[in-house]
Amino acid sequence: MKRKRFLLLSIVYMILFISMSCSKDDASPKNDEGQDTPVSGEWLVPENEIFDGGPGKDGIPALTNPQFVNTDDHMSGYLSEDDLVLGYVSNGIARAYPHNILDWHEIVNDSHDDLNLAVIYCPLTGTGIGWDREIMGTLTTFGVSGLLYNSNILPYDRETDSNWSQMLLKAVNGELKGTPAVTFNLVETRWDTWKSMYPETLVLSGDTGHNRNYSRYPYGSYKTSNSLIFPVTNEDDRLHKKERVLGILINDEAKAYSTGNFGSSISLIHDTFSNEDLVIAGNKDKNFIVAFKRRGEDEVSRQFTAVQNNLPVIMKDSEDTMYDVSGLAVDGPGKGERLIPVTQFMGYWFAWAAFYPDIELY
Amino acid sequence: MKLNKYIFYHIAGMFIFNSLFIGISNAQTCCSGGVPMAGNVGSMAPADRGTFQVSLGFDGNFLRTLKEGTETINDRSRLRTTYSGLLNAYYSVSDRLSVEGLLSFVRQERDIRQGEFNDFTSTIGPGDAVLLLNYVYLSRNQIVLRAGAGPKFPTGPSGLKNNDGITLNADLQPGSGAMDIFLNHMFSISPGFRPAATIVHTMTYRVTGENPSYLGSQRYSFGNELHMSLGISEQNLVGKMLMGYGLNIRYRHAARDIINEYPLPNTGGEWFFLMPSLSWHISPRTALNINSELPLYSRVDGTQLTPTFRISAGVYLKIGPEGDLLSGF
Repeated sequence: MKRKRFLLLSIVYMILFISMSCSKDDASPKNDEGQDTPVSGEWLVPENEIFDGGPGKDGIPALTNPQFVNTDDHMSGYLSEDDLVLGYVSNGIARAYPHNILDWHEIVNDSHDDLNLAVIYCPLTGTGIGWDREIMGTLTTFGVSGLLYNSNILPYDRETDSNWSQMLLKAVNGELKGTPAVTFNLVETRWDTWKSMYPETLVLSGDTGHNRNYSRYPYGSYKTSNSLIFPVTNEDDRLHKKERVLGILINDEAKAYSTGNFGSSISLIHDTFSNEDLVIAGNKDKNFIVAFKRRGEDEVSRQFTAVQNNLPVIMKDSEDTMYDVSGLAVDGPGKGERLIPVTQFMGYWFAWAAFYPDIELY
Repeated sequence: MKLNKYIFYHIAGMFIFNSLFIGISNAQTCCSGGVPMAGNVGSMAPADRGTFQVSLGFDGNFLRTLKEGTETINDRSRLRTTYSGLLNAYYSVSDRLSVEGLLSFVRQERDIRQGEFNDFTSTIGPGDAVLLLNYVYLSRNQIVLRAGAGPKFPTGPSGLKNNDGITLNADLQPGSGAMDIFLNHMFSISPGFRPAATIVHTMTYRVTGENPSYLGSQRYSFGNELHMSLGISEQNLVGKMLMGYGLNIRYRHAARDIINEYPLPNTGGEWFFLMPSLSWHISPRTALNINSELPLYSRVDGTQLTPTFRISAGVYLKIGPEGDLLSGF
């Protein structure tokens, strides 16, 4: 009797199994009601090109108001001289946000002076951008949604739970869908270069409250491999997929400049793109590229000359006004003026090509 | 003397097996909660011709330990759980030849609690299925040597989306989307110091295939896996009930997962587990059993969530000419 009952149970189980084996792959999982985190509403990007990266929402913990230390503090000891940092100068105070920490946390919600800055970095696309945390008059923090579009981070703002595309620079889902991000241009360069530019710089402390090995890159050979982990919508083999380029965006048109365009000393490219006269300054060994508009408010297109061995000064104009890496005139007749920046950020070539298929390559 | 010879052969075979496959696999395993298939195939004992053995079990694998290499990181913000229903059937076509099938039904969960921020995702569905052909090539002087091989079919879905239509990653899918091959070897000996004591050593190697349409256009394969276990089991009458108890040490080694020929970082590693087990023989043909798995040592590639605790329970039935449990499972 017991045997029959057991066999019956087994048969029922097998029938259940076989019937469920026939279920379609795109069948929704039976999430517990009220337990899963819904992402509501329509998307501005194709939903079937968004993927779950694996760690889940907030599985990669963003940092909020982290500690900064001086360069000689032992809590900056996780950094090597050639590690990359994202730098920003505000009111004369320089701050460095190292890739070493951003690789593990991806977002730093920072506040200093009157500035509420979110540094958002995607290790898979190598893109780091500063965003204003004040959105339409409301201060928010950003978190890691765990979702990817074109292999690129989709941060979410914690005030409205809207999802944003880092490289499209706007909200792509939720209450703020379509809202553009207000960006701050960060300078990406080697740690030793940044220190030589700003010896008094502050840098993110290795004491983040999270137990991570910030001396270790967590993605293996990813940054040199020509392989991707997640699909992208457009591939372009003009450069190695992980070649680091400075991409600029003007009127929704994109152009990229590779570190290979620059030599071992600071060199300048005077270029015109999308009806804008531009100057692009870079140094392959110091590992930085920055771009500015050549026309100021006076609409006069200026010519620049590179300045060597005087970092953070990188160039001067025909009137001998000296400009630093952030575009600020630090000496000369135009001292105090600032060059008009172009929306720009460093990133892997494949990412720029995926988001902007018509991208020009210098 | 003969006994020593068989043990020698087995150890030599083990050495060759391990060297061969670990060499090929490049060393390491994924953090996946993983459907416990490799740990279950080949777990039933050979039996006389016409014997049918079946077990229906439930398995819960809890991953909350975050490790980098061999070091445990103080971070318990993530919990990955895999619950599996497992139906294992074993039929002895002859005294030497047997067919074994393993079906699974899986629930995957991911629970994140990062301070005030919580997130929960789960999937459920049939898992993959294994069919194994086993052959007892030596049965003499209380020693049994058995080899088996067979495919794992990708019967489980591997492209499930969440309720918002976003495709979940491979780790949360009930199925792998790939056809794998399982190779299994078992050595058992009744040492004689106790009539019902049995020492069993098993090795299972999973040669993983490729899911050609992961996330639509990607090629994904989980890392090859090697499982080895060595254990002893014994049975005693407790009152009027026959009870079995056992203790196993299990080793698992897995290579890195591969996506489009790129070895994924933070996958792969090796683990040692201690596995105590208990069984209650509620009739001469039926037993209830419970097993747990406690991690003793692990070395993961990069940083991974790794097993914290595992428990499984089930009911076992043996139907056959001799139909008693003393010949064991």
